[in-house]
Amino acid sequence: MNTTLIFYDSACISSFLKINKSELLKKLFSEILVPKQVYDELTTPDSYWPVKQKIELLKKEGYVKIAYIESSYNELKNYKSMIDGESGRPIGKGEAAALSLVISNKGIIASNNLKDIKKIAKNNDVPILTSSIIFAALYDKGELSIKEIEKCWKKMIMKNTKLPKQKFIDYYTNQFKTDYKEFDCKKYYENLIETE
Amino acid sequence: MNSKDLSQVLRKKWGIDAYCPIDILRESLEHLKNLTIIWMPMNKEIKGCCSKNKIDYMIILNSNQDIGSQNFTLAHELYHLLFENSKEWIICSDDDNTESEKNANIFASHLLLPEASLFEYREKNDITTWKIENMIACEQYYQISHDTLMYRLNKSNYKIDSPDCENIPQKSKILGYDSKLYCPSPKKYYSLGKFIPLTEKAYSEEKISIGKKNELLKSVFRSDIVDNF
Repeated sequence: MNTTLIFYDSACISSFLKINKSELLKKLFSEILVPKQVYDELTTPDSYWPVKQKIELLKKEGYVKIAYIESSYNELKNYKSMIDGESGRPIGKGEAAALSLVISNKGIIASNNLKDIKKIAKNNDVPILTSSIIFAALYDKGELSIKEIEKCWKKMIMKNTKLPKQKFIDYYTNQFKTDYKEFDCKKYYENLIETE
Repeated sequence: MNSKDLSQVLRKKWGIDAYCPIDILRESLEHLKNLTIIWMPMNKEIKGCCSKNKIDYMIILNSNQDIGSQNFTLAHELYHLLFENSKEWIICSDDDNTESEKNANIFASHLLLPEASLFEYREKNDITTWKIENMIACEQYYQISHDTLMYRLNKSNYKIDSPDCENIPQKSKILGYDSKLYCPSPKKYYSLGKFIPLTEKAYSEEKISIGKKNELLKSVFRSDIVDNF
């Protein structure tokens, strides 16, 4: 299993929670690191209760761990500059927290909001993990069949998750290789699909 | 112009005559395009609050109040927004007896239930003495709370048949009405109005990221839009 720290923003983790498939993450990751800002976003008073309930359960189990921005100058500076939009348009607190933690921990960002995080990730040499890549890894590791993934993929789209293609097979065949290169997946992908 | 007259001026401005009931929520959102209304639970002493800047209006309602009381509070906050010039947040509570609060209460009462309308209602329904059945029917027609009507009946010196004020919701059900007027909001956290399309517009014009958009929508308790449930 991968040992580099992976910090999740709301979009990526909630895409699995919304369709009640958090157990798929357990097939690849020994833990999930969620910034406090992301946890707060997922547990607002009006949050979709299955997501809220699940994240609380996973936190109680110790599988989801809450990560805090330390008061180190760089971490806070990065966080603030991202939410203020100092080098582009302002991004959400969850995304900004995940990115600043990833940068200071030399980790991986798990996010589907590529439009805004891609540039920051590239400038800081940060690999990106998306829900699509997670499914590719589950397939390559032999954990799920195409049919099973398509079922999850369809449900995610119905629950407002933005995925790059309408079907997983289209993504895997036509886009995954590009993403692999562009998101620097070689830094973590082989570890991810390694069978014990 | 006093606040009672201002309430009729507003009705006229909104194209609502002095006799018919008013769906205050729908009319407010229709006529005040820059209004955002947020519902959230607050301590029982707080009815609601409001604020405005040069462009936007915001009203926060206590979702723990029954719907009839929320309608009154909404009308009350409209008075502060439309006819006063405070730059600060105005927090309205039951025990606030300032001139401004009294005026806002009179405004709200007459916006929801104009005097002429109450008079006509009484005539049309041949009410000489107000029994509990008459009162519930009237509350349902105007979508006002029992307290609002009681205050107005007493103020107008109408004869009230010592109404048993207990268990109004149950009595309303027995009379064939929907009792939700006397119950708090089913959604404790919610919002409607300008903030939502404005957030969407900022995103579509690429002024904010999708993460920021979702964060803003969640801040006004619209996770249902973010997560499509």
